[in-house]
Formats: sequence, structure tokens, C-alpha cells
Amino acid sequence: MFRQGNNDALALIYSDHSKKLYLYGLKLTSNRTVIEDSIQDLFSDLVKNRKNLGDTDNIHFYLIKSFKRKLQRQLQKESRYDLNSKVEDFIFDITYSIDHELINKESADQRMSLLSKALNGLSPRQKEAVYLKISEELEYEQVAEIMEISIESCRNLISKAIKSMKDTLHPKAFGFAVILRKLFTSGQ
Amino acid sequence: MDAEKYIDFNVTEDFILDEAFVSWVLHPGNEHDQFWVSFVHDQPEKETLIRDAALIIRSLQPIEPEVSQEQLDKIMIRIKNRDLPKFRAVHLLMKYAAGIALLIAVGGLIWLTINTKSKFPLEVVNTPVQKGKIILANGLVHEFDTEQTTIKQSATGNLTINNDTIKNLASEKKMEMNQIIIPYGQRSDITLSDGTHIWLNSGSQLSYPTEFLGKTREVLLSGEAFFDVKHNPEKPFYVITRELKIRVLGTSFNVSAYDEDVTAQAILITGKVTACKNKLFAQTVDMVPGERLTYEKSSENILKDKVDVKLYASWVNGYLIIENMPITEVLRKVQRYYNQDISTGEGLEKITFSGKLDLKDDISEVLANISFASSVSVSENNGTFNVIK
Repeated sequence: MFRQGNNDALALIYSDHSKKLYLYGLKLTSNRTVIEDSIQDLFSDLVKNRKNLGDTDNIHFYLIKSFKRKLQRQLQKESRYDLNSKVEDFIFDITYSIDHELINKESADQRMSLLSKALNGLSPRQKEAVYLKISEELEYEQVAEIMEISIESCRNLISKAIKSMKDTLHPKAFGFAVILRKLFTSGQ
Repeated sequence: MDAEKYIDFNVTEDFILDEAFVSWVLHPGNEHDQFWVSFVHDQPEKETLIRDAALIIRSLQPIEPEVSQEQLDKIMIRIKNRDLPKFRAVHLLMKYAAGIALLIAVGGLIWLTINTKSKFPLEVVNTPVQKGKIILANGLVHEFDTEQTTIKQSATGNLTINNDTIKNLASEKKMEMNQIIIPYGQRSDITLSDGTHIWLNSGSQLSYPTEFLGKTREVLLSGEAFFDVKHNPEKPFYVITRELKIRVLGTSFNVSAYDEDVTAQAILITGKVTACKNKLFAQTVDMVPGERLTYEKSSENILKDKVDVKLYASWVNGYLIIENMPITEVLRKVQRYYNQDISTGEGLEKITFSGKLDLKDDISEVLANISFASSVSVSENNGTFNVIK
């Protein structure tokens, strides 16, 4: 519809995706100006090139991918002008809901705080991969493309992250003993 | 959904990495709720796996920072008006030009114009006027004496001056020119029938048609005005001053063309315009945002340079931002704005002033600021100010 030149379709795509893009951007940089510029660029290009757009069945993936590329280019440019700011390659600034509330009232607080600790122990790249896979509901291939890594290492990043979280919920015998001892000593 | 598939899931990860499962956890819905309830009922040994998986998925959900709809709308407006500069420039403008840049639709076409005639049919009233006036095409004159006057011209011919509406008398469709005269000490903002918004500075005159019927939209200006031109590629907008002719499709820019000044200037804020001398076969000059075009009356030369646009648009918001301007020029601006005589002593030409003058203050405060910043002395004698070195 949009490719045929319908501007309402642009507005629709924009209202569906702009906020998500903005929020993703905020995890990569705190510079809102750069985020806004990149979103503007992204959609302007979309308008300009709409006749040449291929059939994307997943516009969300296409937008995230192009947005990240524009954002990074912009951040590099900025850092060139501003000697005080350097581009940190791997930041992924995300606050998990678990840090603020108990998600599941049935589970013990113990498990929640362990889970929270595990989450915050994830590397920035793990956080990003998991975020794209689970919160943005993208496929492995798409996450890999966005992060510019192989599908194999993408799978590894994610499965290691999830395993580390799962293990805190069901610690193996040794780990469990350590935790028990810790609890015991801290209780004294 | 396929229950068979999930029977083979033996570890928590299997569920966490299953798109349909994730989608259910994040967006639960009746139909899927039923599926999972009956699945757990049939496969009770999977319950722990499913609970853990759901817990982990939910704990991974971020708490998002604030992004307001307003912020998103602002970006959308800028996307629709593709040629506008990006936010950095706009933030600047919003501060200094009342946020108008957001309303502007801009066309990117540049056209070479050849002036066929040097004409400036505006009869500039040179005798000082005390009250603001609008002279209608039918000869009627309406006066106003508010310091800031808002004028609105509708396409139906109705004219509104500060909420008073004057009904259209003429019935036939023809180009009729109205002329607005703003005395020194007053300002006005005018909305034309096409939606173009113009801020007229003190001591300026503008002549415009009640309705734009021809192939072009033309207004005549003497003095200084800030234009926020409504985009219309079919009907280019021309600002014609005694010396310059500026062609635009839709943009915002400032024109200063007082008869008593030695130069006429146009400063482009956003969009693209072409300008040329108001002469036969004059060569045109393209302008890009941030550029100033200066016409030197004595040499008839046109010069172009880059300037800080906020310095030129600031008067629209009621203050003047000045950087390194000869103090005599600053005083001339102040004199116009307040309609007060200011006499100057010798040797002031070489002294410059930089700073921000709030035009809501009264003139003695403004002059006191200038005196302080530029080390000149100001005295008042029977309502006349005297500035000396």
C-alpha cells in the first residue's frame, strides 16, 4: 500500500514503529538528538525510495536494521567533532522490570533477586541479542544480521544468556550448596 | 497450535526460544490461554518448565524510559517536510523564531527567474505616521494603534484586525491590493489568504492582494519582515523590494529593506530561495539556509555570506540578539523599534556591541544595557536620548 504512494500508510507505519525504534535507540545511546535525526533520516529515505522498496514481509526487522546503521554512523560522526565523547562499541543500556517489581508473586523473593543478579551480569551484547530475540520477537537470522555476527555466534550468545538465568532458578548441586552456605553465613 | 511439538520440549530454553510461546507470554489472549491451560493439564510434568520459561521471559522485559507522543510527532512533521534541516538547527530556531519552522512546508525547486521589468509599484509613505494603517483597495482606511497588531486576511475577502472583522464589500473577483503601514514603535503579524505568515517590523510597509488569483503570489515590501511562506509549488511567492526580488515556493526568511539603510538584506532560515536585483535581466542568486544576501545600494553589488540566522530572526520574538554590530547600527534599530529619537556623538562608528536586548524593557533600560556593555554614555534630555563615547 505504502509502496504505491499512499502517505497515510507512511503515517501508519510510523505510528506503529517509531516509538519502538526510539526506545531501542535509547539503549544504544543517551543522545536523543542523534536518535531523532536517525529516525527522521530513516523515514525520509523510506518516502524517497518507496518505489524501489522490495517486498519486505517484516517491515519491523527492516526498520530496526536500517535505524541501527544510521544511528551508529551518526554517533561516529558526532564523536569526531566532540573529543570528549567516544563511541562505546558495546553499550546496551537496559533496565529490567525485575529490578523494580516482583513479576510473579508465587515465586520466592530469593529466586527473583538471583534472577535479577544474573540478568545484570549479562554482557551488553548478550543483553542486546536477547532483547532483539525475545522483546522484539525477531528470528535468529535477523538478530544476527542486525548485530553483524554469524547466526552461530548469535545462537551461542542467546543460549548462554538464557542458560545462566535458568541455572539461577535451578542451581546444580554444587552451586546450590554454595548459595545455601552463603545464606547461612549471612544469616548469622 | 501444535501440542505434539511441545511434548518434545524437555528444557526451559526450548520454551523461551519458541516464538509462539514468547508471543503468548508477552501478549496473552483467550484462545492461546486455553491451549496452554489444557497443555499443562495433559502434561503436568512440563508445568515447572513452562512457569520458569514464562518467568524468565517476563523478567527480561525492559522498563522503558519516557518517549512522549509530542516528540514523535515532531519527528513526523519533519519527515513530511523533507528539506528542513535537522533538529539541531530547529531547536535553535524554535527558541528564536517562535517555533514557526515547524509549520513550514518547503519545496526544493530552484527556478531561474529573469526580471522582465524593474518595477516597484509600492507607494512608500515617507511622512512619519503615528498610527498603524491598512489602506484597502477600495480606498477605505482602517487605523490601529496597538503596539503589536494581528491582522488576518481571508480568501473570502474578510479582514480581521485584532479580533475586529471587517466584512468584504467587493463582490467581483479581481486582484485588489491592500497596503499595511506600521509606524515606528509598533509591530504586526499578518496572515495572508494563502496561509503565509508575515511579521512586519517597525516602520515597515507591505502591499498584498486580498486573494492570490494569478500564476504567482507577489507582495511588495519596504522595511523589515520575517516570512513564513506557505508551500505551493504551483504558485511561487515573490517578495519584491525596491532593490531585490526574492522568489520562493515555501520557506522562512527575513528581509530587511529600509529605504534609509545603505544595504538591503535577505536571510534564509529554512528552504531554498532565489534572489536577484529588482532589475531587467538581473542574474539570480541561489540561497541555502543560513546564508545572507546583501545588496549594497551604492555599488549595486550583491554579496552572499554565512550568518548566524538567530541574530536576524530574534526580533520576531521581541528581542534583539546582536553580535559585533557597530553601535550606530544597533541604535538605529532601537530607534525604529521604540520610535524615539536617539542622537549620536562622534567616534561611535568604531565601537561595537554584542548581547541580547529585551525589547519588552523600556528604551531607557535597553540603552542602559548598551551603555554598560559597550562603555558609552547615555543621557536623556526632554525625551531625546543622546549617546556619546
